[in-house]
Amino acid sequence: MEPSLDVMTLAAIQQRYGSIDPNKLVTRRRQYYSFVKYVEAGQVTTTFFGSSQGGSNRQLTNLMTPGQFDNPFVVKAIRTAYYIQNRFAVAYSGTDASTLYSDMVNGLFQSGILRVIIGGQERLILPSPFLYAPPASGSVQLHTGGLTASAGALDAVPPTVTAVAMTDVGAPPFADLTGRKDRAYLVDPYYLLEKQQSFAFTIEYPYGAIPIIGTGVTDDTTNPLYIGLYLDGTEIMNMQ
Amino acid sequence: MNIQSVPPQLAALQRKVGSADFNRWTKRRYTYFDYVQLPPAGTAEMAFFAVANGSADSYVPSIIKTDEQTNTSKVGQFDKGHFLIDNIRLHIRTFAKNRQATGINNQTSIISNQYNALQLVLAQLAIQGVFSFQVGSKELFDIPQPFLTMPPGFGLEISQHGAATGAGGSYSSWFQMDPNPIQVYRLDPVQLIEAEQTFKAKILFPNANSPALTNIVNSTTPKVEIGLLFEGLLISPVQ
Repeated sequence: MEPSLDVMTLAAIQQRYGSIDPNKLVTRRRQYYSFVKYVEAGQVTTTFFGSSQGGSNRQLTNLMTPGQFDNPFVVKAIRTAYYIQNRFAVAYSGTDASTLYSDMVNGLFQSGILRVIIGGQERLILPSPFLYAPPASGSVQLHTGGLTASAGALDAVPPTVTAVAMTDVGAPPFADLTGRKDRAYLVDPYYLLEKQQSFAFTIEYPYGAIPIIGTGVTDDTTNPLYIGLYLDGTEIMNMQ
Repeated sequence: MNIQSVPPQLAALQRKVGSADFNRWTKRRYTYFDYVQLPPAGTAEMAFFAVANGSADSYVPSIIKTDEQTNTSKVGQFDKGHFLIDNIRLHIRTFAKNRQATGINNQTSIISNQYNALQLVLAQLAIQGVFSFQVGSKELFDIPQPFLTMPPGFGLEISQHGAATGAGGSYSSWFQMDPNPIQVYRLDPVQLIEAEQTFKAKILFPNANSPALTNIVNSTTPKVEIGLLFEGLLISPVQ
């Protein structure tokens, strides 16, 4: 019997694109990430992986379906992070509100918990998650030029040592979550998240929401602060 | 009566949520933690895991402990199964600005300019004390200068703590414990604490009381938490 047109078409497509062989699997390193807006007033609970690229954009998540991974996924490391379009939206004026440094050292990045629930069971509750499970994804370094003496007091011969007024070179205070890759939070044993597995990753402030201090920098509409979570691991896919 | 039979309601429940099988065990990386307020007037002794989640803090009773302060619901016990302690960490954590008292939380430049006295006190605290860990009536560990010996192994990368933008401004400092994870205090061999086994964990200040915090920031007493973290493997029955 002559093969039908449908069979011939299918064979042509298979030749071109391949077809899934469920008996053969391939793996690759994959990072799923989710960033969620943290409003200036603060929020007690932030839930990650609740929206997909369609409801967000690729800077904020690579999830195609809300609450679901594309394939079975083995989580090996959990990394928190943040994102803001313009970290230096205003010049540092000496006030706490004019820099995100305030939030780094005495705000939301110091406190809170990370809660991981998989299949209805609480697997992990981690204190100060931005410190304990840092981004570990590399980081920038911002070096200052140090101090300068004003009024040429130190240039005098002999130098004037009384009432020397010092000024910095205009650099703002700066701190960041650690980017050193050896400081990622590794889970042990790994978490296997099946494609349909129910899970919840949240950052919470059960003692009470912590508002953003650097509100001169952030703006919920034009320059919002996002907090994020990376799940780093191995994705398991069918071979085509 | 057939003792193997299971009432239908129980069977349905087991199918839905599972039940513990004590012949099969699983383990996972886990951290038990307890954050306690540093006594504002100074103290000769601080106890950890002495108050469960939902109760008032031992030293500042106006603070009710939540999941942010501790993740154990039992006093002096690990509540989720057997626990294999791999390392012990201490973490000095200044309460977030909005959680501080009026006089601190309403200031516009408290972090860059007025926290300096607090930072000096914390640096002073960091070289003091002896950690004591007792299981049952037996003391297993006594570790001197525990804030140095058992650092958290996590923290920020701080490039500059700016204090002023113009001539004549004062410069202050910012305190942080050792953020390097290699420096955490690892046990050798690891220590098993069985479920229901009771322990006491304390920091003693036998030479002199811990430094006081009274009115040191803008004539206001700051709130500082001291966290004790036990990291290791939680061993629990398979469900």
